[in-house]
Amino acid sequence: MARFLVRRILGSAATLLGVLVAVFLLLSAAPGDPARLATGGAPGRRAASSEALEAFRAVHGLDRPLPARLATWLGAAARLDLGRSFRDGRPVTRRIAETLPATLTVNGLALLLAAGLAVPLGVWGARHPGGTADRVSGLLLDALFSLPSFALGLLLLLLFSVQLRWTPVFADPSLGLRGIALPALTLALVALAPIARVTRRAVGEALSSPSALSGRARGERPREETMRALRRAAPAFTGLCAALVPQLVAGSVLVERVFGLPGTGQLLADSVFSRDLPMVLGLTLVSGVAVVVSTLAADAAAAVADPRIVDGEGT
Amino acid sequence: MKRLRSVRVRLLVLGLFPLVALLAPLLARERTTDPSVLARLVTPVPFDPNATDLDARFRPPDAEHLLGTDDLGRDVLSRLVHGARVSVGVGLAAAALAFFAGTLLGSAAGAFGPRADRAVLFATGVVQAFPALVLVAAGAALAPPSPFTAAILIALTGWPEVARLVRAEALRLSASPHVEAARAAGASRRRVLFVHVFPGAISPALATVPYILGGAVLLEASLSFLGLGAPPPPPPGDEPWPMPARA
Amino acid sequence: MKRPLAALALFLAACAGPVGKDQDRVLHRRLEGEPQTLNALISTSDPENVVIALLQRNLLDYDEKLNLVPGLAESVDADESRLVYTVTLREGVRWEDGTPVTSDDVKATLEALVDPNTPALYRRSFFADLDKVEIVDARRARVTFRKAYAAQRDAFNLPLLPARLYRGTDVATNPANRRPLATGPFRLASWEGGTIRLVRNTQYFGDPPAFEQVVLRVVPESSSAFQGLVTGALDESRLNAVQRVEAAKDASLREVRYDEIAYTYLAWNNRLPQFSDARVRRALTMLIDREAIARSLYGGLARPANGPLPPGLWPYDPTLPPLPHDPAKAATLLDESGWKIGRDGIRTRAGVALSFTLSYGSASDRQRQIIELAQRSFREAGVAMALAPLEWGAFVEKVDAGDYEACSLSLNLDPNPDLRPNWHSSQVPPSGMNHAFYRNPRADALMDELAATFDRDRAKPLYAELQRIIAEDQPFSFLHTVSVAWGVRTRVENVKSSPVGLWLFWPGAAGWQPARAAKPI
Repeated sequence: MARFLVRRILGSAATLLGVLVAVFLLLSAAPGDPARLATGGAPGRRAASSEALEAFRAVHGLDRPLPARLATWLGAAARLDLGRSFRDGRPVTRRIAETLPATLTVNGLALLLAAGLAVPLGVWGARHPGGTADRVSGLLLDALFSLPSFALGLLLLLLFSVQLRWTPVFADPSLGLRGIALPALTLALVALAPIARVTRRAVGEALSSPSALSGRARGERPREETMRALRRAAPAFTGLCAALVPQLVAGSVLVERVFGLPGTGQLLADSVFSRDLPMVLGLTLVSGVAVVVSTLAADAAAAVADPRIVDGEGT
Repeated sequence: MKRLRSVRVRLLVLGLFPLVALLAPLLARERTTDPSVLARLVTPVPFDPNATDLDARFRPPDAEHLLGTDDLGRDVLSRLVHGARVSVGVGLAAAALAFFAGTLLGSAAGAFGPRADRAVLFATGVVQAFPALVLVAAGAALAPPSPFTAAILIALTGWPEVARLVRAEALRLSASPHVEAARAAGASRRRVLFVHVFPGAISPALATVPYILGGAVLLEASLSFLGLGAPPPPPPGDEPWPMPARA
Repeated sequence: MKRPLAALALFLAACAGPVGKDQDRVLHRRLEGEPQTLNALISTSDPENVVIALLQRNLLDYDEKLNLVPGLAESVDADESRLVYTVTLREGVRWEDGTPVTSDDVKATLEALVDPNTPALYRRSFFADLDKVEIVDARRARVTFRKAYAAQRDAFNLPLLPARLYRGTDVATNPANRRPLATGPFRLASWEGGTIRLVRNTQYFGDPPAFEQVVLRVVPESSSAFQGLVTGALDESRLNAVQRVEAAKDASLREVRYDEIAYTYLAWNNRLPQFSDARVRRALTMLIDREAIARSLYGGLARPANGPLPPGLWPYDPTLPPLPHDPAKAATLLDESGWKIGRDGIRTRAGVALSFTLSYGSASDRQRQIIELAQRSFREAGVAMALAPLEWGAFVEKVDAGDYEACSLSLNLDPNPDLRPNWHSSQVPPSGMNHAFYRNPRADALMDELAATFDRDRAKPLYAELQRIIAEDQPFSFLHTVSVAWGVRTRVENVKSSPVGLWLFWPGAAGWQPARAAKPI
């Protein structure tokens, strides 16, 4: 088990490095001059002088060759210095620290809500496949899933903030639960369908497996049977986790925009569009760590549920 | 039996879209001068999707424009029918690509031992930890936005989900007694992969296909919004960062 | 199913805080994006300027008619040579911490401005010919230029930076950029989580503003902002065409408009054979039904632009007619210039087809709609225009380099009407912004002459001739000048508008008042 974990952690570090290098190269290769964009340049506008642009490039090391810049950044990042934003010159870590709590809270709440609703729905569906409830919930979830998140968000906003006046129009984490209920609900509703579906399928398969049959033959009660099935379904959740967690950190630009939530999603979007490379790399690092850690945790959970995975790894 | 019927309904709906999309140029086009019933039957949507009429903007649905007109006075139904071509095309292509790459790599990872597994895990890890926004925006900046670019970008973000599901299943299967038995009986690696692992591993991934397809259509709708970025000074009278028209 | 819903309702209702009377004295405003800095020298975006306009007075301010009026300076006077300007600060002007504003601050600000490391966007261009700054006494500074320039006094529409915080520092990364010292009616109380809170500046030399506090919130999404306006969470927000209709039905909202000093256009790269002939460019403009677009897409809040200057700037010539919508005349012009319709319906001349690609870098709905309308009109006249939407950063880079065939853009001008940056032949890319690659010797001569013409009465006829020449040449297809509509809650009064908007002039938003009825009795 220890060897399995060490190997996985090393692999994760390699993954992170790969992501950072890929983001760096991709964004550097994309056309668009960070100096021009950071100084607010637009065609036809009175622009920053060419000396100012040169000075900007010198300050941020943009005049150096790509590999050297990458090496410098990685070296500094290893010491937890993520550099300074091109746009306002402030440390990247500070800006992330300002936006991350709001995003984490909203998305964490959304994930809890989604899991709390979707897993029971999935289990119910698996235990009563083809029933009216199963089919109705399936249709409903599909419908929710097909709605663009910003449209869903606007609908909720119109209902709860404008018609009923229960929640503020703009998300405000300082108001507590009421301030973030709507963005969290929006994200949760969008995430319901995939979670419920994976649960339903995985539990369904576990229920029809020989071990479940033998359990039933032993007179196992439905609750125990379901718990065992859920445990057996653990590997299926690994992928889901890896798919849902990036959003936890990187946020959702669209939902954050609709509710005016100052989170990392908007920060990332603004940074990408203005080619604010240090900011994008910093956010990539943070979300990458979250993805890697959650995947590791899910894999470990899967390994605990089914030790053969570890054995297979060792051979 | 009930389950079969619902599957059939879904297949019918799924099949209808590509059909409509395929026949769009015939179904929806500027009506010729022939007002006969036959002409109406052959061309049920008698409007060119791009024909504008600024004096007929935002018309509510009526007998002439079955779904009304949009902000430029274009027939909404005709645009939907033609738009389906692009959306469905992109969605199908992206889903097919993602599914193909995902299942292949996923089952290879599960069946070909630790080295292949590690390589695939690394690749899925990189893609999944890669902020989709960066990929889409940088992709749109590098290659001009087109349905082809969109399909590639969506497939690029979609395949790891399939691969991970398939891999997990394949790992379980290749450790299962019947695969072990097959190996013991001297089955080749390829045989183990294609006969014993692949068919079983596909089924959980199949469940994700509608989601990739749906996600692809959604992402395709938001691509214009996400991929184009924001002009710092908004055009006069416009808000910065407008939402896509009707995504 | 009912119980959890009811519980949710109860819970949410319990969370609702009490609304105090002092809310009447708080103004709630919208920022369309997150400010990056509150340093007025290097600010680049509209949201930054919204905040800065409340925090800082300038040496000279513009009034709502764009005349320069005293601000921090009681006067800025030029000598006979128009090379030496004497800035005299108002008596009793203080920073928010109570220290006096001195001529040393003026000197430090100008030094910071001309420092090549300072990314001062457009203000620097006014000081390109700065020779020296001398301190006369604590309240007076003498600013000397190497060349006389007609719009030089506009340069003193300039905020100040405190010398003791900025001298010898890197202006771009100075921490005071996020904690500015105010000289204006408000000062910064807090800035966190996308919300900026301003309170009255007790050290401000002028009358205290009517509102005690201003809360500015970043709300990028227009639809959400409009809901905020309707529910009273915001007191003002820009309105789009659909929202205007909604707002008109709401008794708690009022519409305020202004004619923006900006215009939209389709730029033609005049170096290409397709666009080298002015007749072709005029024809393209005449193919676009700008009247109909203004009527329908802008809901009447736009009119066809007649040339390179928008109304609202003093040299604008209202007697110059915009080109008419006249497809028949356009076809004749195209025929005359040798572009004949070929077998595939596309015009050609000497083996070159009249086809080109128009790039655009914004996802603005309306812009896209206009382009699509133009595309169709062009096609009917045998002109093939392909469309290439580009990611904004990529688009900027291409247009800046002059590496494009045609593009759709808009130009926001400022109160200085100098046309050289966009039209002088010395300003072509990659170093300049004349991205049409427009060259006309007579226009060049007029622009050079205007830069040294100080008397507006003498300048006006020259500007009129210049506008006529550029309109005749149509290096761009000038599309529209636009009125912007703003929704303001009726509880806010005394909202004035100017060509630079509702607040980029004095007193702007600092002059807004709570409606009398809203005051606590």
